[in-house]
Amino acid sequence: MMSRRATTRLGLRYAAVIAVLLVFLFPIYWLFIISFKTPDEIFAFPPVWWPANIQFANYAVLFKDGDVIVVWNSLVIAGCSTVLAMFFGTICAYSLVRFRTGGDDLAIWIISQRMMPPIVIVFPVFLLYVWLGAVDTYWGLILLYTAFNLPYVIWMMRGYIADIPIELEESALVDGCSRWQVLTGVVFPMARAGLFATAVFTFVFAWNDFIFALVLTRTEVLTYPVQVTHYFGGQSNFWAKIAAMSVLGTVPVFVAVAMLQRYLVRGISMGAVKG
Amino acid sequence: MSLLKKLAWAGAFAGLALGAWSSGAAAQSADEIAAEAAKKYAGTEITVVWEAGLQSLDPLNFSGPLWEKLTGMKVKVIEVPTEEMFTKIMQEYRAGTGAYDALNVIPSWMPDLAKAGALEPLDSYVDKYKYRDELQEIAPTYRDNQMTVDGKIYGFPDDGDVFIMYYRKDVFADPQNQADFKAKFGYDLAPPTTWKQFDEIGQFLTDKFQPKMYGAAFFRQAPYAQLMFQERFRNEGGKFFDPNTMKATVNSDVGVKVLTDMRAENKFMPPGVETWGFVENLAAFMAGQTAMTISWPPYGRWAAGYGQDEKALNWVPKTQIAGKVGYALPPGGHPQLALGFALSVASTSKHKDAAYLFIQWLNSKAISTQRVQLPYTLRDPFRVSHYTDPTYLSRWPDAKDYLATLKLASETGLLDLSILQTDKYEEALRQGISALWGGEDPKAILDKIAAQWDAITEKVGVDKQKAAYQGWAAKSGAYPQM
Repeated sequence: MMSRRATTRLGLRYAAVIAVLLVFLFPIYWLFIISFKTPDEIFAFPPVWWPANIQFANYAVLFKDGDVIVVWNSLVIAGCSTVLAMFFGTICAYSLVRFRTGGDDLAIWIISQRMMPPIVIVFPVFLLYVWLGAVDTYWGLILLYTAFNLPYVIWMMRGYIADIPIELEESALVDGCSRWQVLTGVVFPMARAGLFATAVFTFVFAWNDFIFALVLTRTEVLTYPVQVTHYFGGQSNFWAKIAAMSVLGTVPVFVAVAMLQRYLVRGISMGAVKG
Repeated sequence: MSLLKKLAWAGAFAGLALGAWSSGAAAQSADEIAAEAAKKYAGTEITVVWEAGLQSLDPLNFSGPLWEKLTGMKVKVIEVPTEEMFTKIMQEYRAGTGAYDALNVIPSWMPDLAKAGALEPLDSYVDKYKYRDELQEIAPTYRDNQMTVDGKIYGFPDDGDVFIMYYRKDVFADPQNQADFKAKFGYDLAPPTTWKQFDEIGQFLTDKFQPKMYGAAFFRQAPYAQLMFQERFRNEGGKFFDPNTMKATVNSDVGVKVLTDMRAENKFMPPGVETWGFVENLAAFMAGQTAMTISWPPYGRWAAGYGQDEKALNWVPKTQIAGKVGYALPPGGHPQLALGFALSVASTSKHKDAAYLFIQWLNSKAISTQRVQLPYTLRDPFRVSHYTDPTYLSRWPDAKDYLATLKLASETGLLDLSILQTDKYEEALRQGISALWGGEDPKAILDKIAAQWDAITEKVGVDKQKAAYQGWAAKSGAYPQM
C-alpha cells in the first residue's frame, strides 16, 4: 500500500502532466473543433467549447472550390524534395565519413549553410529563379527545398553512418560487394531508423516553409501555408476555412510522425546512445 | 434639283450625320470606351494583384468574367494578403519580371511605389481613353487625396473606405434609457459627438446591461487600433510632425491623453476586447452584444442583413440587429479614411494599355456602381453618384441613412499618414498599441514611438521626408479643417 506522501507525490505528478498536456494540446483541440463549427458558433461569446452538431461544411467548401489542391502541391513538393535530399545527402554523408572527403572542415562548412536565415537569401534566390524561369513551378520549389535541406540531411546522416561499424562494410566488400551494394545492403538497413527520422524532419521543414513559398509562387503551385494566408483579409478572416485548411495541412505530418514514431525514437537516440 | 439645292441638302445631311456621330461619341461612357478599345487585345491575359480574402471575389466572380465576355481578354487574379502586397509588388518590380499588369494598391503606399518607379503614370492614358471627365466624378476626398503623387496620376481611387459609428437605434431611443441617462448626465442620450460623451454613454449602457450587452466595443488589434489612434489624435488637435524640423510630435500631451483614454475605455467594453480584430468585433455587434462600434462600411451593410444569403458571406454570423442600426460620424466628426484601395498599372507590365483599359472599366461610373453593391466584396462607395444611386438607396430600409452618413464621412474624413516608408512609422505605432494593451505607460510608449519616428526620418533623409510630409499635410484630408 502506498504511503500518503507517495500518493500525494503521484497525484501532483499527474496534475502537472495534465496541466502541461492541456497547455500543449489545447491549441490543437481548438483548431480541430473550429473546423467543425458553424459561423455563429465560431464567433459566439462566450466561446462554444463543443459544437451542437459536428458538420463538415468547412471541409466540403475547400474541396468544392478546389482550394484543397494546395495540399497536393505541398505533398508533391515536400515529398519529392525529401526523396532527393535524402538520396543525395546520404551519399554525400557516406563520402564524408568513409572517404573523409573534404577533410574535417567540409562537414562544418556544409552545416553552416543551414545556420543562415532564409530571409537573407530569399530575394537573390527570387532573382535567380526569375532568370531561370523557375518561379511558380514545382521543380523550382523542389530544387530549392532539396538544396536547403541537404546540409541537414548530410549532417544527420553523417552521424548515423559513423555509428555503423566499418567492419561490417569491409566484410561485405571482402565478400565481393560493390560500394553501391554495400550502401543498399549494409548501410541503408543499418541506418534505417536514422534515415526515417531525418526524412521526417526534412519533410516537415519543406512542408511548413512559408517564406520561400510566398516569394517564389504566384498562382500555379501555391502550398498550403501560403493558401492559409489567403483566408486573412484586411476586413475578413475566414476562420472556418483557416481551421479546416490548417487541419488538412497538419494531418499528413501527424500521420507521418505517428507511423514512423518507433523509428523516430530510435533514430533520434542513435547518436546519443553510441556517442 | 438645282446644284445649290443639292449642296444645301448634302450639307444638311453631313451636318446631321456629324451631329449624330459627335453626340454618339459624347454619349459613350468610360466603360464603353474601355471595353471597345480593349477588344483589340482579345486573347491577351492580364494579371491583376488583388487583396486576398473577400476582396478578390470581385475580379474572380464578377468583374473578371464580365470583362472577358465583353472584350475577350482574360484576367488572372493573384491573391496576396494585405501585409504582403507591398513587398510582392516591389519584389516583382525590382526583378523586372513583368509578372503583374494591374495592381490594387493602398493609397498610403503610393508615394513609395511611385517614387520607386513601380507604378505607371496614367495621365496620358486618361486623356487617350477620354476618362478625365468621369474620373472627376469621384468623391472629392478620394479624388483629391488618393490619386496623385507630385501632381501625376498614379492610381484611381476605387474603395471609399472610412470609419463610421454604428449604434443601436432601439437602445438609444428606449424611453427608459433616455430618462435614466438624462437624469444622470443632464443631456439627451444620442450618438456621441465627443469622446467625453462616448465614455459616459458607453459606461452607462455597460453598467445597465452587462453582461448581456456592453456599451461599446472596438477592434483593438494593433493594425486596426493604430488607425483609430491616428484619427482620434488629430481630432483632438494632435500633429504628427513639426513641419519645419520634421521632429516627431506624436508624443505630445494630446497623444498621451488619447492613449490613456483608449485604454481606460476598454474597462466598459467586453472582456478580452484587447485582442479583437475586424471579425470578432463584427460578430459581437451583429449578435447584439455591443451598443456602439466604429468600423468600415461593410459593418453597416451586413448588420442590416444585406447579402446574408450570399454563399460567400456564410462565414459572417447572422445579424440579430437588422433594422435597429443607426449610423453616425465617430466622436470628433472627422473619421479616418482608413486604408482604401486604388487601381494602378505596373510600370513593368508588358500589356500596359490592356491593363489600363481594364482598370478604367473597373473604375468607371457604370461598373463601379455595380461593384460597390456586391454584397460579398468590400468595395465601398467612392463616387458622388454612388451615394445617391437609386438601386443602392433601395437595398434596405435604412440604406439612405447609411449612404448619407458615408457621404458626410467622406467629406470630413482624415487621410492615413502617407509619407515615404509610411509602413515603418505605422509599425512603430502598432508596437506602441500592443505595449499599451500590455500595460506600459502611455507617455513612455509615445516617447519611444517619437524616437523611432525620428530615426526613420533620419534614415529616409530629413529634407526628403519634409517635402513628402509637407505635400501630404497640404492635402485637404490630412488634418481636420476646423
